[in-house]
This record gives sequence, structure tokens and C-alpha cells, in this order.
Amino acid sequence: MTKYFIGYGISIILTTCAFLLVGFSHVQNIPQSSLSPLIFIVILALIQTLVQLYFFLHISFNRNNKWYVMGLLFTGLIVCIIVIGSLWIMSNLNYNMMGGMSSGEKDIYMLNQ
Amino acid sequence: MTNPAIHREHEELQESSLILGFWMYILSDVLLFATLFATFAVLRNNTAGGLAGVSLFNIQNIFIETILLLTSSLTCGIALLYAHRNKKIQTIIWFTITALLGILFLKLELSEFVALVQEGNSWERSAFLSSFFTLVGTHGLHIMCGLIWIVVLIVHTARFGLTRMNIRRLQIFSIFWHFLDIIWIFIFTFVYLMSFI
Repeated sequence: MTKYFIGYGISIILTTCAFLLVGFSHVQNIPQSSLSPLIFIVILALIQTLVQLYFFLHISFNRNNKWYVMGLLFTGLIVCIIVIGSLWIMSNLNYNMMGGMSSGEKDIYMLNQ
Repeated sequence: MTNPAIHREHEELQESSLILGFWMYILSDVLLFATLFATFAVLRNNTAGGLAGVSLFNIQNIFIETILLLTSSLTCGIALLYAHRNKKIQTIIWFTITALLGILFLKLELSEFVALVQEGNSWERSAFLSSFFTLVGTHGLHIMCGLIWIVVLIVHTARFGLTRMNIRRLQIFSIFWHFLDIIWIFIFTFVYLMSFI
């Protein structure tokens, strides 16, 4: 029973941190590169995922849980391939290499092809 | 099939395969959401001259929705513990609370969607909004199916009690519900919070 409450508590803390961080950097225009709050939020999300997997779904490194962990890792691999692959391929498409064009100019260029 | 020991062993093997099999389904559902996330990631800046996420999303509503779904995950876990201890009344109470929290979540999300569409920012407006509505809408559809499922399970439990199969079904529903909360973590991080940075 306590496992669920611990997981819940940690998740609430992680969630609130993420929202507060975004709230502050949005309102106050903190002079930092836009990259660092992004990385922090992603890390918070990943930690919360692991927390929920362990405390709510009881995915641990037990001997009985072997197949659950294997399935999860394999799915994670495929997800990485899909997401990173899509982003990489789409950002490499020809017309996207025309840096500096607004979307209106891109449309005109494409129509003239 | 007359030997009770073999029959019992067969049942237990079936039940552990049941949960592992459902876990495999959950993993395939994760792949489905991964493709929708990839699409949203590619199209996140294609606003066709319209509004971007930062002007469209209400961060307080998202926070409330997150807390609602997270709490419903907690109450779901509590309810399953009562089910394993064969306490029928508490099981029904806690699963009902889970369903109510889910309904509140869906109501809030739906009202946001309606507001977006009424302002003209429907899925027809831009690629960004198309991918947004597809991703978050699919998650909402999963929540709705989960709600129908748990209502049926609650009625079932009320009528027939906490049989072995009912407990397994409640267990499987809990896995599904926790998975939806995990998907929501990624939605509120990559869709909503990222648009504010």
C-alpha cells in the first residue's frame, strides 16, 4: 500500500517541478539558453516514467519480471528508432534545407516546381 | 482434465500468460503513440501562419488534468489491493473514484478541445493542430475506452463478486490505466510544456 503513496508523492513533486520551471522561464524571461529548461523537463519526465513503472506497475529487475523488462527495453529501442529516425529524415528533406524561407515563400517555390 | 492438480497448474499458467500477453499489447500501444509523437515532433512548427501552442494552451488546466490522472492512478492501485484482499465493497468504491477522476479529466480535456475548435483552431487549421488533435485525441479515446471498461467491470463485480477471473480483469485494467498515465506524462511534457519554452 505504501508503495503506491510513495510513487504518487514522488510523481507529484516531479510534475510540480516541471510546471514551475516552465512557468518561471516563460514569465520571467530567464537569461539562459532555451535548451537547459528543455533538457531538465525531459529528464524529469523520464524519471517520473521510471518511478511510475516501478511503483505503480511493479516493473523491477526480479527474476520473474524478465520478460516484462525485455519487452519494455525492446519497445524502447523501436520507439527511439521511430522518433529519432523521423526527425532526422524529415529535417533532411530537400526543401527543408532552404533555410531562411518563410512558409509562404516555400509554398510559392513548391508550386513553381 | 480430471486431475485437479494439473488443472490448477494449467489455470495458473494461463493467468500469468494472461498478464504477460496484455503487457505485450500495452507495448504495441506504446508503439502506436510513438508514431503519433514522431508526427507531432516533425509538424510542431507548421502552424500555417496560425497560432502556436504557447498562445493556445492554458497551463493551469493542464496541471489540473495531470493531477486528476495521477490521482486516479493512485486510487486504481489502492482499489486493486483491496480486490486482492477480497474486500468487495472497498474495491467497488475505489474503482468508482478512479472512474470519476477519469471522467473529470475527460470533461476538462473535451472542454478545451471545444474551445479551440470554436475559436477556429480546429484540426483543419494547420498541420501542427492536426497532429496535436490526433495525438491528444487518441489518448483521450483510450481514456474513454478505459472508462467504459471499468464501468462494466464495476457492474460485473457488484453482481458476481470478486471471482478469480474478475480479479484478473481488474488487474489487467489497472495495467492499462497506469500505462495511460505514463503516456500522459510524455504528452504534457513534449506537447504542452515544450510549447511554453
